Amino acid sequence: MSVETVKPPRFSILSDNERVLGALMLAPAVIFILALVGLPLVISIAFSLSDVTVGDTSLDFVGLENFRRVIRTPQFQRAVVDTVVFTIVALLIILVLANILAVIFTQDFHGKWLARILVILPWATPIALGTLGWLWLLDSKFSPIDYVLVQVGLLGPDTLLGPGLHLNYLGREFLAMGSVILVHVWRLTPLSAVILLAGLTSIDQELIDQAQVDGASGLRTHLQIKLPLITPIMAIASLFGFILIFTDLVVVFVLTRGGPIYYTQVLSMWSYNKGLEGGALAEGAAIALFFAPVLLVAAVLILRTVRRIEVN
Amino acid sequence: MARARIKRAGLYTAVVAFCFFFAAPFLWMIITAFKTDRDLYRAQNNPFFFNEPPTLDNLDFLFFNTNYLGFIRNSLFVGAVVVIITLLLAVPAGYSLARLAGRWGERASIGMFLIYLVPPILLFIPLFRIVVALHLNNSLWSLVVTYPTITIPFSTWLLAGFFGSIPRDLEEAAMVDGYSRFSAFVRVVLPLSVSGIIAVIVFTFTLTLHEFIYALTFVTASAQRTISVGVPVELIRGDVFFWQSLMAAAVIVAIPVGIVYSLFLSRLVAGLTMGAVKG
Amino acid sequence: MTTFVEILALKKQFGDVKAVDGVDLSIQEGEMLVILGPSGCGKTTLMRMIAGLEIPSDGEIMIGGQQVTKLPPRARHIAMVFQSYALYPHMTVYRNIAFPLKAQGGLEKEEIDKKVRHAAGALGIESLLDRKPRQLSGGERQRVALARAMVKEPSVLLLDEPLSNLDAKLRASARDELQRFQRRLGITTIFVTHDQVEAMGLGDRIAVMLAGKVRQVGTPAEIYGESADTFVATFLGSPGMNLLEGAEHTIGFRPEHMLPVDGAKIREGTTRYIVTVDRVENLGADTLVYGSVDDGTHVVAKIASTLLFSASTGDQREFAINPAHLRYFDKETGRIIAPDAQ
Repeated sequence: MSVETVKPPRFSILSDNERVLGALMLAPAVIFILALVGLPLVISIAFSLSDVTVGDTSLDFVGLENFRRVIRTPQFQRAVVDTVVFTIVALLIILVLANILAVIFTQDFHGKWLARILVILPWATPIALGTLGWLWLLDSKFSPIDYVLVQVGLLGPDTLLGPGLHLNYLGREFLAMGSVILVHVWRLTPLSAVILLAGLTSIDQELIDQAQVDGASGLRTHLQIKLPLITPIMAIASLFGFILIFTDLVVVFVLTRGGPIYYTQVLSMWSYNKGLEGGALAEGAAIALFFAPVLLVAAVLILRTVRRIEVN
Repeated sequence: MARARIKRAGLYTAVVAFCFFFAAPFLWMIITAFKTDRDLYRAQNNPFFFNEPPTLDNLDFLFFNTNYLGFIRNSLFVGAVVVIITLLLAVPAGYSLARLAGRWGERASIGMFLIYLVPPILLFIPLFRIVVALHLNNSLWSLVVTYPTITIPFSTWLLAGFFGSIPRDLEEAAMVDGYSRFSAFVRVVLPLSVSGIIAVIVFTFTLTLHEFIYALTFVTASAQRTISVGVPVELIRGDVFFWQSLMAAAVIVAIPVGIVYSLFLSRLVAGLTMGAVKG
Repeated sequence: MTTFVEILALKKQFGDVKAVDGVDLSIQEGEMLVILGPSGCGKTTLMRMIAGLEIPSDGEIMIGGQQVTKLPPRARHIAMVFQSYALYPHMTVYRNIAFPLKAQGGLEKEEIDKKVRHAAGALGIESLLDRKPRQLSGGERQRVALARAMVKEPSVLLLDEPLSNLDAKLRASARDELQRFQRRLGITTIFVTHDQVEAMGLGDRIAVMLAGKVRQVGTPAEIYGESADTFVATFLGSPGMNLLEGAEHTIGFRPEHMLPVDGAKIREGTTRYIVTVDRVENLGADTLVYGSVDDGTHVVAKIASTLLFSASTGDQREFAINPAHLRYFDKETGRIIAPDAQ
């Protein structure tokens, strides 16, 4: 009995040699990224070390002068503080709310399909447009929130929140900061809840049954069994959220442009104002580069968390 | 039993509270869209009712006096093309990192993810220069070319995790049956990865729909604008805000997208679970 | 022996599917009762109802004289070990074992520590207290799961196929350990499995289930020697009982009771069958002979290696069976027919 050998098809060398195939499949993405991220990044760094402006496009090396100049301004401290505060406060609120929301969605209830649509809307809307809605809701003259507060008796003459009929959310320092945080929470909680829900549903049901048999209440099970098990995914979701809020331009742009004065001018807003509006490209680039150390730390944290997931 | 009933009531209260917080702005936006100027711009008027009869004038203005429909068309076009480009580049790249690249593949996939962390705010000025050099400014193609820089890193990372969680046995069985590695990938792995691919499509489309900085910087001609930038820029002329049309513009986009997303929610969750949770 | 767990007319329906269809069981204090059946027979659902993880559609469950049918698991003084052992992966062995004590509340730290160490000592795992589950072997994990189960001194121990995830060699020693453990503590135990060898080895009594109903309850000897119906008769034994269609009844006899006529001294008065041999498997200690009788029905004979026997495909061999080993079953219901009625 002879054994017949099957002739391999023509392109076998290509599709079977794994090293070559691997490189080929990876190459397009890598080249694309290098060209359109790597290159601009290098140019950005070059800008920050030069004196380029919209008017003067020659790249004269000035060393760290831009960075020094930027640090000396009063806006610098404010920008850094704002960026950090907004991000951390918003994140903490988002984590708590998203946890509650995710737990809610592990239950069954009437009208769940409708709730899903309603809850996802903030994420489905383009950021600029959703924020525009809030721009009106927080308007200094016509805010519906003010209207409700007046009706309920919390706003107006002789009331808790002060003699005026309007709270001017976007014109007062702390209210404006709160408003930015509010909009970030509004738009990011749904997405975080979805991610957390993914984590919760992937927990082995037997572990939860075991906890029930062991006598744990629902709360104890959630805090001591479920949360620790989804910590990796919570960490990743938080780090994502961190990046999204930390580097965000749109919400501040639409709501306050950095105002009142520069009280809500986060780093990205300042970079835009200086660089594009003001024309000082080099300084704009320098400001944006202050993100780098923070992002590096975030990157390292994500790396560590991912490695820990893989070890487990 | 009473405890169960209290728990149930608590659940529904929480559901209503959350739905209210997230969706009430939209409900109010819908009402506003139909309000007349006189009704809207009087502080004493109840913003939740029609104190004057509702009007279609604002919608009229939106559809026929602005480029709104054009914006929608542009956004859909850019979204679709970017999704295709992203899938074409990220799917093979994700597979390569998951299966073919060995030890440095893991590091590379993390590297991919880290690229995602580079914020557009750092890149938009130089990118603008590049776009101008390529003569793509003021064209939708400038966005089509640059958006994948945001979508590809994340998608590659997500897909790498997803493909990695599919048992190798399946591909190996196909290869023993006579298929090449690439064939096995197409015939066996891809059909099993629908959830992951849907997750990628949803995220990619969302990212392109929402993107603001590049759209603001690279495209200035009204006819070429996307929704994200076109609506605020066109409907806010100096100090004049066409509020009702603005609200209408936002709601018209939000609700269909919201419905579609919620339909795919379970697939999305499955995609995230396989990819990100199992590592 | 007093009844400790009482299950009365228990039913559970999922939509149209009757997972458990009217089960009555009395479990004696201190006994190890095994619930045995193929997948889908309802044994796990039954176990979960006893644990309180499912609410019955109908019927009652009493533990220690107390009605527990609708009570949550933590009100029932039970402990359960799952197939996967369900050790909390992010906690050390110590914290795993301490968890039920912390959940129940009201105990001082020193008391908890004492109880945990006592339980760990009883199972010989004191040296493992600081390890995490992923660092343990299969056998060690079983011991941790048992320590966690026993630390709160439950009145009933429930075990859901805990040996299925162990590899074959380990299973035998784990089974041995489990039985010694249960005998030593004298705790009322319910054990669910689909493996009949396991059931026969472990159980004081066995309840055989099929399609949501209990077919027979009895000691291993009763289940095996006096099977109540054709299902139990064919489910138990490797291989199971041979069944032939007789004139009035279904006739059954076990493979090991078939003695080859040549090579053995056969008495008069035995029932004899001529078997056309299809295939012979030499398993070392036994030889299995697969063949068919004159009407074409397949039978299997199990011949001890102490008897001289050889055959090839196509040969015809005569086998004798002691009439005391014959069983008669009703053709319609499958139930066994009592000897005096034969």
